[in-house]
Amino acid sequence: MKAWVLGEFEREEPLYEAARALRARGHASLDIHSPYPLHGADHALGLKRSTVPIVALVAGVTGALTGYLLQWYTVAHDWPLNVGNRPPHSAPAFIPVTFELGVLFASLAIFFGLLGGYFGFPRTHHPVFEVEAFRSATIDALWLSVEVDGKDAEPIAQELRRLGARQVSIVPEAK
Amino acid sequence: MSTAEKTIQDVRALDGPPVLVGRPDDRALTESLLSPVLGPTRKGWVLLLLALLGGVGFWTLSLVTTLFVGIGAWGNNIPVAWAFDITNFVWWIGIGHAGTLISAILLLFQQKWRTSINRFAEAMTLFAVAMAGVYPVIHLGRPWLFWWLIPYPSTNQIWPNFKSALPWDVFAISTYATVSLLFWYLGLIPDLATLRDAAKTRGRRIVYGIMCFGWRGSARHWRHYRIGYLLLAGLSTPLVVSVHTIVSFDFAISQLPGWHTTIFPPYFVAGAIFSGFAMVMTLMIPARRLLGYQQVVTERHLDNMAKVMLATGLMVFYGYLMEWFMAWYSGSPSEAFAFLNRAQGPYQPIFLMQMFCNVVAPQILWFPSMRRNEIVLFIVSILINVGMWAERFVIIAVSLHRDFIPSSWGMYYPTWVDWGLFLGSICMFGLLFLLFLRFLPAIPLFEVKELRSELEHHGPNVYPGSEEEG
Amino acid sequence: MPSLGLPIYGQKTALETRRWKSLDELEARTAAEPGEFPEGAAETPEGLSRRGFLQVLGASVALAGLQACKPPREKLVPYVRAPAAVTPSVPVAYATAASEEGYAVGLVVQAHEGRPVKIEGNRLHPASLGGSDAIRQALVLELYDPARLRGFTREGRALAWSALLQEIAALGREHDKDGGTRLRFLVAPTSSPTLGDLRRRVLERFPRARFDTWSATGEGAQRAGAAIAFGRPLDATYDVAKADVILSLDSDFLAVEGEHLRHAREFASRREGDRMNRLYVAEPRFSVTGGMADHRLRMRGLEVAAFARAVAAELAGAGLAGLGPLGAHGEGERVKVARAIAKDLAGARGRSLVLAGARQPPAVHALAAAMNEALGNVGTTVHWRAPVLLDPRAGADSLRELAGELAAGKIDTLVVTAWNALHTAPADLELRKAFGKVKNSMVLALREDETVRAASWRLAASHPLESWGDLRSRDGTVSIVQPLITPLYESATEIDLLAAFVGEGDRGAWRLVREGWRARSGAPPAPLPLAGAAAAANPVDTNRPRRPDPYDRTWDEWLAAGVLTESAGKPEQVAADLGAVGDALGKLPVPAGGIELGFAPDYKIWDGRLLENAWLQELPDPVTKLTWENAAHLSPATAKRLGLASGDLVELARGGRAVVAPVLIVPGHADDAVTVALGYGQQVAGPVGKGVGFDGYALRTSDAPWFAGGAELRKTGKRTDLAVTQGHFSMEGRAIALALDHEELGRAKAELDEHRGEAPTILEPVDYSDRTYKWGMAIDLSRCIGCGACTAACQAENNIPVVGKEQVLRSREMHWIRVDRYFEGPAEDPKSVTQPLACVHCEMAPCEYVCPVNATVHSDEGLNEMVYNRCVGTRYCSNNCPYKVRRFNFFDYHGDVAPTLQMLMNPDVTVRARGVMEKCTYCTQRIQRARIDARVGGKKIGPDEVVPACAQACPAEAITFGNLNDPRSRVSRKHGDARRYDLLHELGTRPRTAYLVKLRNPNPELA
Repeated sequence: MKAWVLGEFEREEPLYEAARALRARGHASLDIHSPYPLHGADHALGLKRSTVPIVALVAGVTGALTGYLLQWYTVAHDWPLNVGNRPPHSAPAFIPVTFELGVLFASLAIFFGLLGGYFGFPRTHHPVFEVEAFRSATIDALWLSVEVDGKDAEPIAQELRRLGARQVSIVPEAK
Repeated sequence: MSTAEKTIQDVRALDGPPVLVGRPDDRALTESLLSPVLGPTRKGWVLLLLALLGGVGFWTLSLVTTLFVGIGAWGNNIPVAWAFDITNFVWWIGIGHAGTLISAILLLFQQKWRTSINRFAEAMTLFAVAMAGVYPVIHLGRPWLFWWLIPYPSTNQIWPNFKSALPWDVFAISTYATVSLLFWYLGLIPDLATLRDAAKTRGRRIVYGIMCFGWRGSARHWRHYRIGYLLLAGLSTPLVVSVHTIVSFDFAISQLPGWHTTIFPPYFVAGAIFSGFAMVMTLMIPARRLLGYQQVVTERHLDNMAKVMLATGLMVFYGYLMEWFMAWYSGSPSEAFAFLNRAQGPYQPIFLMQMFCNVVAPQILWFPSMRRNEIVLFIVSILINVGMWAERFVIIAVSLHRDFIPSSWGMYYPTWVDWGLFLGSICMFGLLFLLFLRFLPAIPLFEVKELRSELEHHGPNVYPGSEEEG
Repeated sequence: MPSLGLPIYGQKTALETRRWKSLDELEARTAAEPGEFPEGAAETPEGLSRRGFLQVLGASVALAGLQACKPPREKLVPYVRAPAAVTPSVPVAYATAASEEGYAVGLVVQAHEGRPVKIEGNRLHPASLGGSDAIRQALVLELYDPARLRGFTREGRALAWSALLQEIAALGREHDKDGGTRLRFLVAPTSSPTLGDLRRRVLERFPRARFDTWSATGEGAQRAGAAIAFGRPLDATYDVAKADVILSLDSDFLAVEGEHLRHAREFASRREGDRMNRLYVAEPRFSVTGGMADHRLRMRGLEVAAFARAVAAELAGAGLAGLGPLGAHGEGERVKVARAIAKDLAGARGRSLVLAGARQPPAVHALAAAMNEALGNVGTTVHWRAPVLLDPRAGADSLRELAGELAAGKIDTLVVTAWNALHTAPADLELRKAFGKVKNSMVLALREDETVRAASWRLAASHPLESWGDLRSRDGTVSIVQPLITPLYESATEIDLLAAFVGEGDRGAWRLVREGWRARSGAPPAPLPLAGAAAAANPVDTNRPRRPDPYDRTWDEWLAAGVLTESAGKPEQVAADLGAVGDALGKLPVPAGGIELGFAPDYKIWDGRLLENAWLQELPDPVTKLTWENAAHLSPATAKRLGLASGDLVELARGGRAVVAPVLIVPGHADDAVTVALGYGQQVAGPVGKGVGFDGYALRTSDAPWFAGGAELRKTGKRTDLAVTQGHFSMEGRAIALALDHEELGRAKAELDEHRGEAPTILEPVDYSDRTYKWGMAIDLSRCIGCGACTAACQAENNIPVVGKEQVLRSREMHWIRVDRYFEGPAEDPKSVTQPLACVHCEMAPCEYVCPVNATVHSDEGLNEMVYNRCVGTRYCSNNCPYKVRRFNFFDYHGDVAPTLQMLMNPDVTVRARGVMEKCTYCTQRIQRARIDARVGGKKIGPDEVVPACAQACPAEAITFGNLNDPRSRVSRKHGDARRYDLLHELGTRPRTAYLVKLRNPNPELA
C-alpha cells in the first residue's frame, strides 16, 4: 500500500532544499503546495515547460478556420443572395467573425484544457485533504508532499523534520 | 546610514506611494481581505440591497411592458429608430472594457499595481456586459426571434447576413462575455480554495470546495495555470479592442452622416477605456473605504487610474476634433450639417453636457494632488460616466433625427419605459456587484501574496517592472 | 402605459364590443322578419362562416354582376354553381359613380370575392378620366365603418322596413289633408334623374310641400354669377388642356372645384414640353392650385374682386374695350401685375381661361364669365350648359326660408337627406333651435351625427357602394350607380325613402332606376312573364323564366361602361349682359378692415361628412401636412404681429361668436387674414371623429358664407401639439426636389448631370439588362399637384394601418408613399414644390446589407423586397435608408380589428404583424397578377401593363411605372428625359425611381 508524507515549511529556500534532497534520493513523485505560484518550484521539482500554448494555438487556428468557412458556406455558397449589390463572397466582411471565433475556441480550449486535461478537475477528494493542517497550504504555508511506499513513510517523515519542516504528517492510502 | 538603504529610500521617493502598504504576513492578509466574505452581514449592505431591488423592480416592469406592448412603448420612431436602447448598449459595453483591459493588458505589461484591482474590474466587466447584452435582444421588434441572427440550418432556409454588423456583434459580444467569464473564473479558483480552507462553517466549505474544483495549490498545476492565465490575457487584449471596434462598425459601416466615419474604431475603444476606468473608480473609491481595502488599493492605484482616464480622455477629445475636421473637410453638406446640428440643434444641452464631462472635467487630473483626492476623483469619474452616455446618445439619436431628407426630420422623446430600462439596468448592475462583494473575494488573494513575496525577495525597487513572469 | 393612451383605429374598444352585441341582436331581428333584407346582409361576417361567406359572396355578385337585379325583398341564395363572373382570388371590377356636390364622379370598383376593396376612377367618365383623389379612395372605408348607423327607429322604436313603410304611409295620409302644407324636404344637391322623377311625383301628391336644397359648400355662386351675366343659371365646364394662359381668381380648380380630376389631368398635360401653359393664382390661403402657380398673388379673399376688376381694366386697355365699364384700375404694385396678366391673357385669345373660385361672390363669377367671353374663350376653353342639378339655387336663401317656417312652427314633418344640416347650417339661422319644433323630423343618414341625434325618425342610409341610383356630370353624361354588395346593415337609399312617400317604398331602388331609364331611353316596356296566374299576379318576380327583353342588353352595356353613351348635353350659346355684370360688381361691399376670416372646405373631410373616415383623418393636408384636426391658418407676418406661434390656442371670434382654435402658421398665406377648414369639431361623432378639431361653422353666417372682415384672435395662453407629418419645409439648400424655370432647362444640363448617370463605385453593379423585366418608376414633379391621392390609394391597396394622432405626434405614421412639400424663397410669399416619395428601390440598397437576417434583399428583376415573415425588427434598415421611407409596426396595429374592417383588407397583400418593418413594394402583388395573366396568355407583360396603386390614382399622371428593359415603355422614355435626375444621387444608391425636374413658366415681365 502507498502513503503520502506531507511536510509544512515556512519559507521557500528550505522547501526547495528538501525537494532537491529527496529527488537526489530518487524520490520522483514529489509535489509542492503553495497559496501562490512559487518561482523556484518548477526548478526544484525539475518540471519541464508547459504545453498549454500549443493547445491554444491549435484551437485558435481551428476556430478561425471554422469562422471563415461558416460564413463562406452560408452566404457565398449555400444560398447566395443579392444583398445591396454586395458580392456574396466578401472577405473583408468576414474578418470580424473569423477573429472572434478564433479567440473563442482558443479560450475555451485553455480553460477546459487546464481544468479537465492538465489538472484532472473536478476532483474534490485527494489524500492531502485528509490532513486538517493542510488547509494552510492555500493560506500562508508551503507544503512538500512525497508519495512513497507505506513502509518508507516514517523515515521520510524523519528526514523532512530534519530538513526543517514545521510539522509532518503521514496519510496512508485509503482502503 | 548605508548607501544601500539610502538608494532604497531614493527609489521609494521616486516611486511615490507603495502598491502595498506595510509588510503584512499572508495570514493577516487573508483574514483582512476575506473579512467582507467571511464576516457577518452588515446592515448597510442589506439596506443598499433592498434599495437596489426596488430599482430592479422598475427595470423588470419596463422589460415586461416592452415585451408585451412592443417597441411602441418606447419613444423610438422613424427617423429615430434607435435611441436609448442602443445608447445604453454601447455605454454598458464600453464600461465593460476596463476590466479586461486592466487585468489583461496591464498583466502583459507587468504592471504590478493591477493586481489588487483586477478581480474587481473583471467582475464589473462581466456585469456590465450582462447588462449590455439585454438591449440587442429586447430592442428587436420581435425579440422572441432573436436567435434568427445565429447561423444554424433552419427550415427557413435563410442564413444570417454576414455583411451586416449585427451578426458581427452577436459573435463579438458573446465571445467577449464568455472569455471574460473564463478569465475571471480562472483567476478565482485559487482564492476559492483559500475561501474553502479559511471558512469556518461546513456549508461554506462544501460550496466553495465545489466551486474551486479541488484546487490544492500544487506546483504541478501552478506552472500550467500561470501560462494559461497569461495566454488568456494575451487573447483578451486583442479581443477587447476588437469588440468595441465591431460595436463601432454598427455605425461606421452605415452611410448616415455622423455615423459614416472611419475614425470610429479607435475613438470608440478609447472612449470605452475612458468610461470603463471611470466606472471602476466610481465603484472602487467607496468600496475600498467601506471594506477596508486601503492597504492593498493604495493612492498609487487611484493615481494610475486617473492618469489612464486623463490619457484616454484626451484621445476621445482628439476623436471629436477629427470628426469635426472631417465634417468640414468632406465638403458634404449633410455631413457638415450633422455636426452643426449637434452643437446648435434641439439637442444642444446634451451636446454641451458631453463636452463638459468628457473634455473639460478630466483636465483637472493634470494636477497630482487632484489625482490623489478621492472626492475629486469620485466626482470626475461620475461626470465621465454621464458624459460618455451623453456622447453615445448624441452619436446615435441626434445623428438620426435629422439626416438627408429634411421632410422626414423628427424628434425623439423618451418614455418612462425608456428611463426604466436605463436607470433600472444601473440598479441591476449595482445589485450584482453587491452580491459579488459579499460572496466572492473582491481582491485576488494569491496575486497579492505573490506580489508581497516578490517585494520581500527583491526589495521595493521591484516596482514598477519586475523580472520574467512564468 | 403610453401605448394604452392611443386609439389605434379599428382596435376593439369597450364601445365597439357593445356594438357587436347590438349587431347580433340586429341579426336576430332580421332573421325574425322574413326577407325584408337578404339574409347575410345584416349578418356580421365575423370569421366568415361558410354560409355567411357564400351569402355575402352571392349577394354582391348577384347584385353587382351583369344581371344583378334583385329588389331588396327577394332572398339571396348561396350559389351552388359558381357564376362565370367570379373566379375566387381573381378580383372583379364594376363601374359605378359617386356624387360630389350632386354631380357624378365615375368610378371603377374592384371587388374580391364580393367585397369591394379598391376604388379607381373611370377612364370613360368625363369628370374622372381614370384619375381619383383621396376622398374617392377612402369611400370604401366609409362603407365598412363599424360606426355606421343601422336600421330604422322612430322615437327609439326599432322598425323594420315594412313597418316603416306603413308608418310613412300613415304620415302621408295626414299630409294629404292639406296638400303637404306642413311637409318639407331638406335635400342635398343632386343630378339624379330618378330622384327628379320622384320629387316631381311627391310634389304632385303634396302640391304645397317643398324641397329645399342645402349644401354648405358647392358652386351655387358660380351658377348665380352665370344668372347675372347670361340671365339664367348655367354650369361651366372648362377645357383646361386648351388653355395657354390661366387666371384663377381664388379658384382651387385643381383639387376641389368643378371637375377637378379632369382639370388636374389636362393642366398637367401642359406642364412639360414647349407648349407649356402659364398659371396665375390670386388667393388668400395657400391652396393646392396656388402651389402650381407660376405667379401666385396672395391677397385677402375680399380683395380678389378688386384685383379681377383691375385685370379687366387692363384687358380693356389691351384691346378688349368691352370690358372697360367692368374694370377699375387698382393701385400700387398690383397695377403692374394686373397689366402683365392682362397682356398675357389678351395675347392668348381663345386659348386663355379665367376661373372664379366657388368662394367668391356671384359678381366675380359674372366678371370672369364676361372676361372669358371677351377673350373669345367660350366654345374653346369654356363651355356653358344648362345645369344638370335638380335645384340650381342651392344656398343659404332657401335654408333661411325653411328655418323661418320651422321656427314659426309651421312644419309638422321635415324629411332631411342633406348631410348634417344642424352642423353645417349658417350659425345665424339658429336651425338647432328651430329643428326641435318639428313634430316628425325624419333624417336619413349614413352615420349618427348631430342632426340624427336631434331627429325623431332615424333612418340608416345605404352607402353609395350598396345603392342603386343614377347621377349626371356637368356635361350631362349619365352614370348608373350600381351596388357592389348588399347593404351590410339594414338601411335604405334616398330613392327608397322618397318612393315611400308615393307608396312605392317596396318597389326597390333597382326597379325604379331601371324602369325609369327604360322609359327615358324609349325602350319597349318589359314583356310580361310567361303564362301563369301567379306570374301575372306578381310581375316583379324575377325568379321565373321571362321572355327576352331587348332592354336588358342596353342596360348591361350602360352598367359595364359606367356611362350612358351619347348622354352628354350640347353647350349653349351665351351672350353676357355687361350692364348687369357692372351693376353686380358695383354692389359688392368694400373689403372691411381688420382681420379677414375665411372658410374653406377641407381637403380631406370636405364639408365634414367624412370626419369619421380614419384614412382621411390621418392623410396629411396637401399643403400644411396637418393630420387629425383643423387649425386657424395665419401668415408668418400676421402671426408675428399678433405674437402667435404654431400650436398656440387662440379664441377666434367674429360677431359675438367664438371658438377656440389652434394657430398654424402657413407660408404664403395672405396677411391680416385667417383661414379655417370647415367640417371639424362636430358635436356628435363616432370613435374616430370624437373631439377632432374645432367647429368652423359656428362662426359662419349666411351673410358672409366664405369671407368676413372683423375677426379677432385672442390669446388663451394655452398650447396644443399639432400632429403635422412634416415639420420642416425647407430643403436646407440641398438638391432634393428640383425646380427650374422653363427656359433655364437647356442651360441646366451640366448641373443636372451631377444628379444622374453612373456614380463611381468599387462594387461592380449588377447588370439587369439581360432580364426580361427591370421594373422602374418615374415621378414627374412638374405634373404633381401634391393632392395626396397616391398616399390614400396606397393605403387602400396595401392594407396600411391608421395609427392615430398620438402616434403621428411621435412620427410613427405608416404611409408608404408620402408627399413632401418644400417652400422656396421668402416665407412670406414662397414658391412650392411637392415631391411624392416612396421606396425608390435602390439597386445598391443601403437598407439591405445592414439587415442581419436577410429580411430585405433584391429580386432578380431589381425589386427591393421586404420579407415580412423573416424580419426580426432591428430597424437598422430604416436608420440606413437615406430616404427614410421605411415604416415600422411599433404596435400590433391590426390586432383584433372590427369584422367589417377585416372585409376591407386586400387579400393580395400581407397584413403585417407587430415589430415588422414595411415599405413600398412597387405593388408587387399587381406585378405578380400581371405575370400570372401573361403566363396564362402565353405572352410577355406589356411595357405599361403594370400600374401601381399610386400611379393609377394620380389625377395628374405624375407617376409612371413599367419595364425599363423595354424601350417602348413610358417609364423608359421618362428615365431618358432631359429633366430626369436621381434623388441623393451622390450616395450612389442607383434608385429605380427617377424624378423629373419641376418646370415653372413665369411671365418674363414679372420676373
